[in-house]
Amino acid sequence: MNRAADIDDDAVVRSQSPQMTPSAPTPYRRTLLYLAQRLGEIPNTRLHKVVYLIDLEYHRRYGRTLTGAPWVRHNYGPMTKALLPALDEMAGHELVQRVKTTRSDRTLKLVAPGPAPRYQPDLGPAEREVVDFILSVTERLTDPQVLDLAYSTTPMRAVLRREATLGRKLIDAPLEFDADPVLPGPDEVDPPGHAAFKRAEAQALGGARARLLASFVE
Amino acid sequence: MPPAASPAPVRDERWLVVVSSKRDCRDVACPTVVVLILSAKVEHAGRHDELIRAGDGGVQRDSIAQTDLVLFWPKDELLDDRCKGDLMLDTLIRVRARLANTLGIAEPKATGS
Repeated sequence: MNRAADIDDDAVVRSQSPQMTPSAPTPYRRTLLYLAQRLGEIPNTRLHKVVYLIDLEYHRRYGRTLTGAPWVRHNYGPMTKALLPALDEMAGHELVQRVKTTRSDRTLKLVAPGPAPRYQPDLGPAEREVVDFILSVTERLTDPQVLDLAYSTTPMRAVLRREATLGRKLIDAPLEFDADPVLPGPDEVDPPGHAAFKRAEAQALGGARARLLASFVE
Repeated sequence: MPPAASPAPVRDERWLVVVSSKRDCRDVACPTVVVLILSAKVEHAGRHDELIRAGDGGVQRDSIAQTDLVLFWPKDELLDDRCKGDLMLDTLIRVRARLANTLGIAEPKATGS
C-alpha cells in the first residue's frame, strides 16, 4: 500500500472518531491503556487480536463496538488501521514500544505501559466487564491460540468462506460484525470415520441419559 | 508383537455447553436446561459440530459442540463449582445457529437472544 492510501485510511479512521485529536483519550486509546496496565508488556499482534475480541464481544452485547475502530481482514487475521496512529500518539506517554528479536531471528514488536500517562483508562462498568471477560478467556492462551480464537469468530469466518468461493485472499475486506454465522453448505459432507465417532459418543452417553430419565420418573 | 489395544478409559465427567435461553436459565420454575455434549476430538468435526477454541468458556482444549447430541440436564447438578466459564457471545450464537441448522430451521439470526 502506498503512502497516499495510508493517509486516506487514517482520514477514514479520524472521520469516524470526532474526538480524535493528538492526545485525546478516545475509547480506543483508553482500552489500549487499560490492556497495557493489566498485561504489562504485550506483543503488538496479540494486542490487536485481544482488542478485536473485545470489540466483537461488546458488539454482540450492546450492538456497537467498544473502540469504534473499523476492522479489516489482514494477512494475520483481524486488524484495524487505528492501532498504529494510536500507538504513535501514545508513545512516550501512555505507552512505550520496543522491538525484540526472537531466538528464531524474528522481529517482535512489543507494547508496554508508558512513563507519563496524560489520562487514565476510566472505562465504564460495562466496558470493563467485557474487557476483563476477554482477558479471562485469553490469559492462559499462547499467541497462536489467541490468533486461532480470532480466526474462529463469525466475521472472520464469513470472510474466509467468501475467500474459499473466490479462490483468493480478501486482504483489507471489512469485517462485518453483523454477519450471520457460517453454516454447512448443502454439498458439505462429514469426514471419514464420522459415523463411528458419533455412534461411540451416543453409546458413551447412554448411561447418563438412562439415569436422567429414571430420576425424572421417580 | 505390538501390545493389544486397551479399551477406551471410562470417563465419569464430560464438558457440556448450556444453550437454553437466559430466561430459562434464570427461571426457578424451569428445573432443566438444554445442553450439548463437547468433545475434544475436533478431527471428527462434521456438519452438526461447532468449533469451540481453547480458552473460550474455560475449555482447556479445542473442542466441538455436538448439536446432534442434545440432552436436558437438571439445573441442580450444574451449579456451584461445576461451571467452568462463559462462552463468548459470538461463540454461543454460532453454536445456537448450528443447532438451529441441525433442527432444519433456516433462520440463524433468530438464535442470539
